[in-house]
Amino acid sequence: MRIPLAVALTCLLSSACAQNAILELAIDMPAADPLRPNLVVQALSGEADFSNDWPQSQLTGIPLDTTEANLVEVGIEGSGDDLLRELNVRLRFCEDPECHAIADGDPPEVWLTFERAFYQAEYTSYEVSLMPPPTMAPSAPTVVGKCAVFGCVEGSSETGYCIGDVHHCE
Amino acid sequence: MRLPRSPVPVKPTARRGLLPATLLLSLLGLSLCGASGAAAQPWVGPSGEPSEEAVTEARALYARGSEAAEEQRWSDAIDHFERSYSLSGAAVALYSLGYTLRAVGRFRDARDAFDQLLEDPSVDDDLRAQATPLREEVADKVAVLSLGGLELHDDARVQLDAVEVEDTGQRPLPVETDPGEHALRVDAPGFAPFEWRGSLGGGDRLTVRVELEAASTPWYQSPWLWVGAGTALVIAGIITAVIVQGNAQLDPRTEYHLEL
Repeated sequence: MRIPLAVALTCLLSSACAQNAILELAIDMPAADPLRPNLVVQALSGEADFSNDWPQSQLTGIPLDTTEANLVEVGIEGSGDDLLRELNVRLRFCEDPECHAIADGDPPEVWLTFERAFYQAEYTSYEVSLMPPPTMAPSAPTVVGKCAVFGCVEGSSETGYCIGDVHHCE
Repeated sequence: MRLPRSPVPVKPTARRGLLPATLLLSLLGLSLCGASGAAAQPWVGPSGEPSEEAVTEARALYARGSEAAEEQRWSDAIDHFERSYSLSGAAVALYSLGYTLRAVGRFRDARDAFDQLLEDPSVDDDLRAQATPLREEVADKVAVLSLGGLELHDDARVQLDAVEVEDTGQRPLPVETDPGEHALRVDAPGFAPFEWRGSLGGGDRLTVRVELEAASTPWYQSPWLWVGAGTALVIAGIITAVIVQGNAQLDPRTEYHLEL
C-alpha cells in the first residue's frame, strides 16, 4: 500500500512544476521628464528588430513620477519556446500612455537583449539602472549575459549568477 | 431437600431441620476417618490429617451449608459444602455437595461428586448405599452431545456455552452437559466457525455433525482490493498531475505584468 501512495504522491508533487517563467525587471531611474511621464514596455523573444514596433506584446501607460526617483517593477512572463530564446525588451518614455502623441514619434528608449532570461518554473530578475535616463533611442541593444540575470540563488553577486558558464537556474 | 442427619446419612425424604450440633460433630468425626486424598478428582480434601481448627471450621461450614440448603440458597450451600470438604475431606460433606448439585440440576457435577465419593474405599456401606442410587439417577440425566465431523480437525477448538471443552481425541467427540439451552462453537484454523444452538433434555444423546467450511477472506482483507485501490490512487494521481500540470503557472509578483 505504501508504494502506490508514494507513486501517487510523487505524481502530485511533480505536477507542481509550472510551465512558465517570469523575469522581474526593476527599472531604477530619477524623476521622469514631465514631458514624458509614461513608460511603455515592449518585449519580444527570439530575434527582434528594434527599428520596428512590437505592439503585439507591450505594456502601456505605466505612470512615472516626475518629481521623485522611480523604481518600477515589471514582470515579463514567457513560456514554451520563449524560455530558450533570447529576450528583447524595449523601454519607451512617452508623453502619451500609448506613445501615440506627436511628440512620441522618436522617444527616448532603452534596448535590452537578454541572452537568456527565462528558466522554467523560476523567477529571475534584473535591475535596469537608468542614471542618467536616456534622451534618445540607442543604435543597438545592450546585451545582458545570462549570468547577469539573478535567479535560483540567495543574495547578490558582483560576478554574476553562474557557476562557470552554467546558470544557477539551469 | 433434607441433608443427612443421623450418624450416617439417610436417604432424604422430606424437608426437615438441620442436624443437631452434637450429631453433626459425631458425624464429621466419623467421616473424617475416611478422608480421601484423591488429588486427581475435582474436589480435593486436605492432604493429611486435618487440624482441630480445620475440623471445627469444617463443621461450621457444613452447618451453614445445611442451613442454606434448607433455605434453598443453593449457591451458598454448594460453596459451604465444598469448603467444608476441602478442610475436612469428610465424605458426608461430599455427599451433601452431590445432593445439592443434583437439586440444582447440575447432574454432571453431582454424578462426579458421587463418583468421587463411591471411589473412596473408606466410605461406609450405609453412605455408599445412599449415594449409589443417587449417582445412577443423576448419571441418567446427563445429556451428551456427540460431535461428528472432527476426524480431520485435531486442532479444532470446541466451546460449549463459551467454556472450553477438552478434546480427548475420541471421535465422535462426546461432550457432556446438563439439560437446558446450549450453544456450541467449533473453531479450526482456516475455517469459518461452526455454531450450533439447541435444547437438551435430561439424558438426551444428540449427535451434531460439525461441518467446517473454508473461511472466506473478508473483503477488506482481500489483496486485490488493495491492489485495485492502489492502482486507482496512482491513476488518480496521474490524472491530477496532468490537470494540475496543465494549469500550473508562476503567478506575477509585480504591479505591472507583460505576457509574451
